[in-house]
Amino acid sequence: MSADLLLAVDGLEKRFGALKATDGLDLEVRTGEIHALIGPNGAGKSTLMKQLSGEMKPDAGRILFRGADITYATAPRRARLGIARSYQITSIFPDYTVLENVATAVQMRMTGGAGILRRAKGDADIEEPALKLIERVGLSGAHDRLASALAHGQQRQLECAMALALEPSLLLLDEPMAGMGPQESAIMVELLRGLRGQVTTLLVEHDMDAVFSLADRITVLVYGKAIATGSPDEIRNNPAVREAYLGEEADAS
Amino acid sequence: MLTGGMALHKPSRSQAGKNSRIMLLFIEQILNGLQLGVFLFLVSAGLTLIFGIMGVINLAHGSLYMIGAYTCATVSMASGSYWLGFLAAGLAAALAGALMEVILMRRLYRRDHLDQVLVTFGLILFVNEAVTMIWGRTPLFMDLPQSLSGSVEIVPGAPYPVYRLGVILAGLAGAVGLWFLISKTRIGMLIRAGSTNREMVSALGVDIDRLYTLLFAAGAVLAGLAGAFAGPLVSVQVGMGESILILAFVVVVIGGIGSVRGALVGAILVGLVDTLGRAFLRDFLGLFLPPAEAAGMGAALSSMGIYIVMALILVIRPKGLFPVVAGR
Amino acid sequence: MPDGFLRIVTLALVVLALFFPLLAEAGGSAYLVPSASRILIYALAAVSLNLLVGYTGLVSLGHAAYLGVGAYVVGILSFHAVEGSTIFGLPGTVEGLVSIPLAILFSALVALVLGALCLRTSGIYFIMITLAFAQMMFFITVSLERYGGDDGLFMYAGPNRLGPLDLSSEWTFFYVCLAVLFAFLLFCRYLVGTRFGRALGAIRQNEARMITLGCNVYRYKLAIFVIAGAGAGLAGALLANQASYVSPDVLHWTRSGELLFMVILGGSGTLLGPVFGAVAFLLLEEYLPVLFDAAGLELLKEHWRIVFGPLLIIVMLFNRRGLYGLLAGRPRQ
Ligand SMILES: Nc1ncnc2c1ncn2[C@@H]1O[C@H](COP(=O)(O)OP(=O)(O)OP(=O)(O)O)[C@@H](O)[C@H]1O
Ligand SMILES: [Mg+2]
Repeated sequence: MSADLLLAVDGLEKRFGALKATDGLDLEVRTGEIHALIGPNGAGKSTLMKQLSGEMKPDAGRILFRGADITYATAPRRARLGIARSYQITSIFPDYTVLENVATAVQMRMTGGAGILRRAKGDADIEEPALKLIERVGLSGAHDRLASALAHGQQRQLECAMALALEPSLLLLDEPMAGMGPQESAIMVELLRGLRGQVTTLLVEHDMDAVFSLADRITVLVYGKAIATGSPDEIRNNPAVREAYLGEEADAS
Repeated sequence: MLTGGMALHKPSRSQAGKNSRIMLLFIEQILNGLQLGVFLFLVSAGLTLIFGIMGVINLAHGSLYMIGAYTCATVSMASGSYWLGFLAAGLAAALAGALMEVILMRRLYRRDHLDQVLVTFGLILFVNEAVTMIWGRTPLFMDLPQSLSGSVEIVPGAPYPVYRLGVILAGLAGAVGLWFLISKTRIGMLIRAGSTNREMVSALGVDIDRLYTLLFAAGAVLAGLAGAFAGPLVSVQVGMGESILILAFVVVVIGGIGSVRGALVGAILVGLVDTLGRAFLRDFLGLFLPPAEAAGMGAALSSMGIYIVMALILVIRPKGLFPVVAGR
Repeated sequence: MPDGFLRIVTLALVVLALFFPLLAEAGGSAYLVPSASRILIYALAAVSLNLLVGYTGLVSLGHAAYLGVGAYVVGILSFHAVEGSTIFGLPGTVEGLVSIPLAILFSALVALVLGALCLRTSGIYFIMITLAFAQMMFFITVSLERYGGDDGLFMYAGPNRLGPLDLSSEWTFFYVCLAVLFAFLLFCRYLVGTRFGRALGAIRQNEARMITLGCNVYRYKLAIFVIAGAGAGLAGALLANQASYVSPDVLHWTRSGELLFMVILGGSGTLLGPVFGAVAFLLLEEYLPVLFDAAGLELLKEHWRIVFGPLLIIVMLFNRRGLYGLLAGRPRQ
């Protein structure tokens, strides 16, 4: 196994009754890259993300992270190993402010037995990094607002900040731009571009412009199988992909 | 080991006589355990269906059991016919259940469990007080139905009351009937579909509200009939519903919420463990401990028995013995 | 900090509490002091339950169990002190400085064991299983023949001493309860403000997200379950002293339901809500019959629960935010 391989998925399978949502999937993500995962609705992208983050157990196959088998590691364990994810359906703490949301995530990274009884509000150890992250995702002015009161796009940004708060070495992003307006999308694209080289990212996204401008490599998923992996150019010119996926897309739009 | 324990306490009888007596006592207690299990099943089946399908927790389910028992006692005493009382109990429980659903439970389907707990807790206070107003605080005692008051010998030398035996058989028949209804009929199919996909069933042109009211009433009938069965065997009094309700919770937790099969297995397990524990644990402990301590420990342990079983099962299978998978 | 109308009500209640024995005496109703102490004790229990229900989102329907353990520890120690016998090789005691900490310790231990089991489940299962285990504790106390079984246990030595204080004085006891409640409220305020408390709130709002943030939610929940159990144990210890009597009745499952009601009635997830809830609930319970009596409604006086039950139902159906929310006027922003 080469040194720059961060994540390797090997023959992964997940069945829902008769449906194989993940069907003998192989995938390699290299350290530092933005790896995009695309495919039509129901291809099994979210299902794969859940298996990577530990929320769902695969039926067969292996997941290796830095060469170690984490196929059966629990979700909290994976989070501590450095795998963080954001959700296709926004998942935040609605009754907390933006700052409280991110500070909670920061605090989870720092979990130390003693610090847990420190007063959380005004605690610079967690609030300073949190404020930096809030700025980094472009929510600077909003840190005092309740998360539930944010616009949808802002909630997605918040979610990114929470995932980054774990200082992950692998970031799993499930459609971070879903439901965003063009302006919000542009901010998010900039944010992700800024992460290139710092945080390895596995990105599921339907916005093809964003995918092709951001990704170092792209894997195409159809019916739970990876039908192609390669650079954006290779994918664009791959006949199988054009037929199975991009063709449809072009017709549809 | 059990027989040995008993022998310590009754040293004067002949060995063979002792052993067969113990054997008979054992059979009798097993039957008693089965009978408690049947009551518990009838109450739990309604609970578990209502949990599983409508997602509501109804603390007042035990009240339906109590209403059944009181109605049966009153009608059968007035008319002289147990069976008339039995019918009336089913009707009264159905009516009470349907009213409960239409007036209250309906508003709770979309609320969280906490609200459901508190509202149905208030309902218990109300029903208990209403029953007190109607029937007073003194417990009622019912006679056994004339036709079933004898006993039969299941094994030679072991007479067992016909009525109790009948209850066991009726309960088991009920279990089979329920299983058939749910897994083989159109109504059962609708019920199962409704639990996973409310919108789809509505789209098929089925009136979901009516279906739910009916289902609730059906669960109520099961509880009410259990109350009618229990009437001649226990004292009919306010609060009888809650003790059976909590046991039914244990049954449902053991069996897995939403699973009728689980309710049956759980109910019989709880019935047997509780009855046998109370009957034999003390003598069993007497093997190792002085009599006074054995009595004390035995009483404490036998009242804990079912909860210990529940804890053990929970450790092994947090979702119960027959966890209900989505869509089934 | 509460504001506006709420602040005024809170302040009025605090002042009333501080001077209550004086006022009651002056008004010729000294007999009200023990009832007031009882309200403070239940307020304490409700506040501890609120740590679970309001702050962590754990609906426990078995909180009376810990109230009972605390009460029985005090009762049993007093029993052995009077009898001159030993328990686990140690003598009994009527010294509150020993028995009350032991009551807290024991209820925490029971909460640790039962919580470790209950917290393997969630949702409806959790509600049912906390109720079931509380019922188990109830039956255990019933089976304690030596300590009165069904009939309960009289503390012939009367209430405990508490160092230099004599808890058999109604005034002293009232102020001890008040001080304990106040201290516990301060403790809770501190606790929910810590990183630990913030994590609990996050678990209530979105447990799945907390797990993927790397949180071992089971441990957090167990920790707060034990703390809440200890708080209820403290309330139980006071309850035993108030009546000089403990019985399985303290652990009856309806008690757990009532505590839950107090929390929600007052306003869950707020510091003072459960206190308001306990006051309102117990006053209603006590004065509803009196009210019907005054109105000449004999039947309702006897059967006041026929009104009480529906009243509670209506409150639950229509007032989602509790008294505290009602007084505060607008939701938190
Ligand atoms: N919990 C589940 N139970 C049963 N089937 C499921 C479950 N989760 C997903 N599926 C099915 O598995 C398939 C893959 O779903 P998945 O959500 O992974 O697709 P996706 O690629 O993320 O789609 P989208 O682009 O719409 O987000 C779908 O057919 C879906 O219906
Ligand atoms: Mg998806």
